[in-house]
Amino acid sequence: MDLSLDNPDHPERVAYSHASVEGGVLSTRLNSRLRHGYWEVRDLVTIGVLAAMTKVASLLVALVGGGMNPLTLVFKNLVFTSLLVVLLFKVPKSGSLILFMVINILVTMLLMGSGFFLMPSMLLAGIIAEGVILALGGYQRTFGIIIGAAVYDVLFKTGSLAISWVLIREQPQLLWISAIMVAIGYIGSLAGLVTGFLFVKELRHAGIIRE
Amino acid sequence: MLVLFGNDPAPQPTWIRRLDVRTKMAISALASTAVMALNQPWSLSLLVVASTLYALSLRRLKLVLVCYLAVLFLGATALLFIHGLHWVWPRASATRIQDLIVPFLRTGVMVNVMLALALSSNIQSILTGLKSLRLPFCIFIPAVVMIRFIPNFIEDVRQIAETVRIRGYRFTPWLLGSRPLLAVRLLFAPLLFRALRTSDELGMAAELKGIGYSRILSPYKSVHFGKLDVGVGLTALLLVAAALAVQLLFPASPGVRI
Repeated sequence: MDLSLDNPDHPERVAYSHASVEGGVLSTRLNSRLRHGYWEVRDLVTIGVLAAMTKVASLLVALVGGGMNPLTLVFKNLVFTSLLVVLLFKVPKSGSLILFMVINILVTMLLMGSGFFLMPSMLLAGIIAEGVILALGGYQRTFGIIIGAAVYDVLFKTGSLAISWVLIREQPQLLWISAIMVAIGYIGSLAGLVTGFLFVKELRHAGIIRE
Repeated sequence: MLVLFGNDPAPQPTWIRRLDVRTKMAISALASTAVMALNQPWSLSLLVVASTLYALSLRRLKLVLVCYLAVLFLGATALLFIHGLHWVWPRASATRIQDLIVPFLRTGVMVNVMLALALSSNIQSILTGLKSLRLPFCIFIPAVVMIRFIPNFIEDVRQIAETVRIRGYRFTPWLLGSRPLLAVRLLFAPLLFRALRTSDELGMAAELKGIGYSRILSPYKSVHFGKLDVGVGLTALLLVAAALAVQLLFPASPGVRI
C-alpha cells in the first residue's frame, strides 16, 4: 500500500478532496497537512509572525527603557517568555519550540551576522525542553508547556553564560556582571510564564487559541 | 534592524551594492567566527580597519558615524560600570587596557559588517538570497514571513503608541518601572492580538494561494555570483588568515593599566 500522501491519487487524499467541497477552509487545512506532512503552512506563518514580534518587542523595550538596564532586561525577558508561551499554545506540536528558536537565530545570523554561536546552547536547551514537555504529557497539558518553557529559559541562559565566558575570556571577572544580568533577566522570564498564561486565557476567551 | 527596513530615498551606486546578498551574509558569518577565535588586540585591529573600510564604502558617512557614536557611548558606559565594580570589589575587575579593548574591538568588527549588510541590501534581495539557499520549507516560510513582516509590526507599534498617547499615557522608563502591568496591557496586549489575527489571515491566504504545493520555487529575480563576489570573498578570507597569522606571530603585550 502506498503510504505517501504526496500522491494526488492517494485514496485518503481523494476522500479529503471530496469532503472539501463542503468547506473550503477545512479542505485547505487538510490538503496542506497532506502535502507537507507534519507542519501546516499556517503553523509556519504563526511561528514567523511571532518571531518577528519578539524582535520588534525587544527593540521597542530597549528604546523605551533607554538601553539595556535591569528594568528593560526584566521587561524584555518577560515579553519574550510570554510570547514563547503563547506560541506553544497556539502551535501545540512537538518541535514548535525548536523551530521558533532556529528561525530567530537564523534571521539574526543572516541579517546581523551574530547569534550563530548561540545556536548550540539554544538547540540543546530546546531539545531538552521538548523532552520535558513530552514527559509531562505533551502539548495537550498546560502544566507541561509552562514547565517546558521554564526549563528552556534556565538551560538557555546557562548556555549563554558559557558563551559569554568565551567572548570575555580575557576578562573573566566580567562574567560576574554577566551572571548578575542573566539572573535579573530570569526574574522577567519567570514573570513571563505567568503573564504568558494569562494571555493564553484571554486569547482562548477571544477564540484565537483553541481549547 | 530599523535601519534595514527604513526607506533609502537615493541609494548611491557603490560596489558594495553590486555584491550578492549571500556574499555579504557569508562575510558577516565569517567575521563573527573570526572574532570568536581571535583574542589579540593587533589581530582584531586589522579586522577593525578592514571592516571599517568595508562599511565606509557605503558612502553614508553620517549614518555610519551616528552608529559609531552609539557604540562608543555603550563602550564608555561599560567602562564606567567596570570602574564602579573595581571600586566596590577590586578583585572582581581588572582595568588593563588590553583586556578591556578586546571585547570592544570585537563589537567594532561586528557593527561594521552588520552596517554594510543592512545599509546595502533591501528586503527583496534578502528574500531572494534566502530562497536560493535551498532551505527546508519549514524554515524558509517562517524566515520569509519574519523578515517581510517586521516593517509592518514597526508600523503597528507606531499606531498603537499613537492610540495610547491619545488616551493620555506616555511610554517612559518610569511607566515601565512603576506600572509594568499597565504597560503590558496598553502596548503589548493589542500588539499580540493584532499579530495573531494577522498570522491567521496570512496563514489562510497562503494556503488558499497554494503556497507550498510547488516542488520547484521559481525566484522573482535570478541571483548569481559575479567576479566582484569572488574577489571580495577571497579578500575577506585572506584578511581573516592574515589576522590569524598576526595572532600567532605576535604574542600578547603585558598591557597598560588605566
